[in-house]
Amino acid sequence: MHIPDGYLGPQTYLPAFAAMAGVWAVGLARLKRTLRLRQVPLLALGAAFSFVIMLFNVPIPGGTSGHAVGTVLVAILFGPWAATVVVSLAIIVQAFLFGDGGILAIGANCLNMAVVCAFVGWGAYRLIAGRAPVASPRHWVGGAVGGYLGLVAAAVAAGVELGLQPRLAHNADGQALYCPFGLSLTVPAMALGHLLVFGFVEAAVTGLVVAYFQRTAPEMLAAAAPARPPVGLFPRLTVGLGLLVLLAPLGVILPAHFHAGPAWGEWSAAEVRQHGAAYVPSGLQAAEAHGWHAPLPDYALPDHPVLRNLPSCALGAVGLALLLLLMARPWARKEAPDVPPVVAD
Amino acid sequence: MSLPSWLIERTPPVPDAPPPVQPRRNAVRRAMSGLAGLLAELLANDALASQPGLLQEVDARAKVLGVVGLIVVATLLTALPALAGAYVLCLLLAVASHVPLRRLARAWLAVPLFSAGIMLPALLNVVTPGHAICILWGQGDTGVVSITDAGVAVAARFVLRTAVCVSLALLLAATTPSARLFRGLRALGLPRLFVLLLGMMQRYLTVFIRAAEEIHLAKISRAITVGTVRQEQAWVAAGMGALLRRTQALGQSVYLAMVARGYTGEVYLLDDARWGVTEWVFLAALTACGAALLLWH
Repeated sequence: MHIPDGYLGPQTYLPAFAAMAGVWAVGLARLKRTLRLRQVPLLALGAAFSFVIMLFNVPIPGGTSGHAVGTVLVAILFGPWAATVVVSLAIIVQAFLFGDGGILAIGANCLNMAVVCAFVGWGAYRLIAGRAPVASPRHWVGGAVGGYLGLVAAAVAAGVELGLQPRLAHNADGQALYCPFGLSLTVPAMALGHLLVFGFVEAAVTGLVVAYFQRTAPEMLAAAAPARPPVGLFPRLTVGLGLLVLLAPLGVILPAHFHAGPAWGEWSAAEVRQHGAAYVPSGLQAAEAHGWHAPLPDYALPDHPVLRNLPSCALGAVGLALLLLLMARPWARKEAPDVPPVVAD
Repeated sequence: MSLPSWLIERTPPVPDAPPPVQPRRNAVRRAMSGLAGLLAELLANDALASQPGLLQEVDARAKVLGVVGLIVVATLLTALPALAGAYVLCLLLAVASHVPLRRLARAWLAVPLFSAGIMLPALLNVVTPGHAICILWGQGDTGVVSITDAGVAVAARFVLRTAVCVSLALLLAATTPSARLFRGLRALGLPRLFVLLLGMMQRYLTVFIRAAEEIHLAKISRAITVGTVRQEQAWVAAGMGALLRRTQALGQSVYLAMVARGYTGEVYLLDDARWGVTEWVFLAALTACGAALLLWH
């Protein structure tokens, strides 16, 4: 799972560092808001803990044994953002002191193990455990499923990063400069081992440790459960809109995939001719010749069947959001006086 | 006085004892061995870092900048002679820093040999098309499966680059006391809080390794035989749980100790004021080497 240096090109490790810089900044900012002073040393010690539990050998049926990564366990007990920081620290120490994972691959390794693994695993755990009492079997089942899914997701992420290398970096002869295997090889290679063996090791360890705490220290699990503040209408709407924006490229990708033509009736003069019309309306011809020309006709930028529309989608979404914010300003100002003023004693 | 008869009696010779049966290394013993190896590596690094040598004389910040810079250069090199040159530079740095070459050779076992193993399919025409230099199966100019010149170039470049990167990282770890190494990361722009946490983590890593060793030793000294897989897995989970509870207790003690020394949430780090001519010369020399390697191809 630890990608060494030399496997990834700068086209991958630099964006991974940039992404992790953002994640660390957000993580530390969130921790500063929620963390009490006494929890600062706990983060460092938690990192040492997450490092050492990777060395515990877990017996596997068949007489052999394997290591657990423990990220999902740390996420369940410390929270996902703390786990992101804690596991990142462990990965940095592993890279610098023990050569386990590359120094330049720290960003990618953190992205896979400290972000993808932690959030996927923790999300699955919270989904299954829900608001069930700490003694409920839903907690250890959630831990096991979270451990399995988190590890498999991290392995797939590592497989994707490795498999992108031949596309991202090759010389004039087409020879790969870094990992030479494509996505069709790297993703199954990384996923299969984790789907069939290591995922179950992680599931067993995470589920059993959660069960251990259910029996011996239930207060630790209870303390780790997030207090859920009521979510307002605006954040919910923002999340919904964000999801819709993320899904918007489907509207471009799917028609291209199924070779669909332009929307019925939204034709140019040339397309009207292609459809075998007896004549082209003169008004349409005149409008095309002398009318207003859009800066991005057909939402198109460069010559790529699918990607050409994506910048236009992004531009449109951002532009609309800004326009709506500007339009909403007068109402926001009007509502401001309704807020009761703060009176000093 | 005569000897008693039972002492004079000849006892039949004891048959040769059967050869000792090598106990099967179970998961607990394997984990113990891993923990001991980790501790030994930490101690060996710090012992080597305190010896005189070229890299040991340089401030940690300059060393981190220079070595990480060289690793970046290694990832940008594509020509095999340039990568070989970078590896020779690693060897020269190791010799000048009195890092035993067998240590560098051991680093080969960790990553580059593994990389060479996974690169074997890349040698073949099915992954890397090119001019066949050795036909493994089939007939004709290319055969069905053959080793190609392009495949050899791709694999050699990959393994050599990995070896250079791993060797440089090893040189950095072996010639810098671990406490200073993390303070040196400030040179790469790491936030103070991160550096503080890394330093604390490194300091308590040995404590936790010892604690994990004790947990395993307690199990070995009390268990007569290995349990079922289910029992052993439950024991591993309990061991991890016990270690986490110890983490929390120790975290509370460390916090109280920090407060007793005046900790208010502000992070202060000890800065080594050692940056001088040596560091500038070192960085200039490494920059020149890096530039020469980049210009080579």
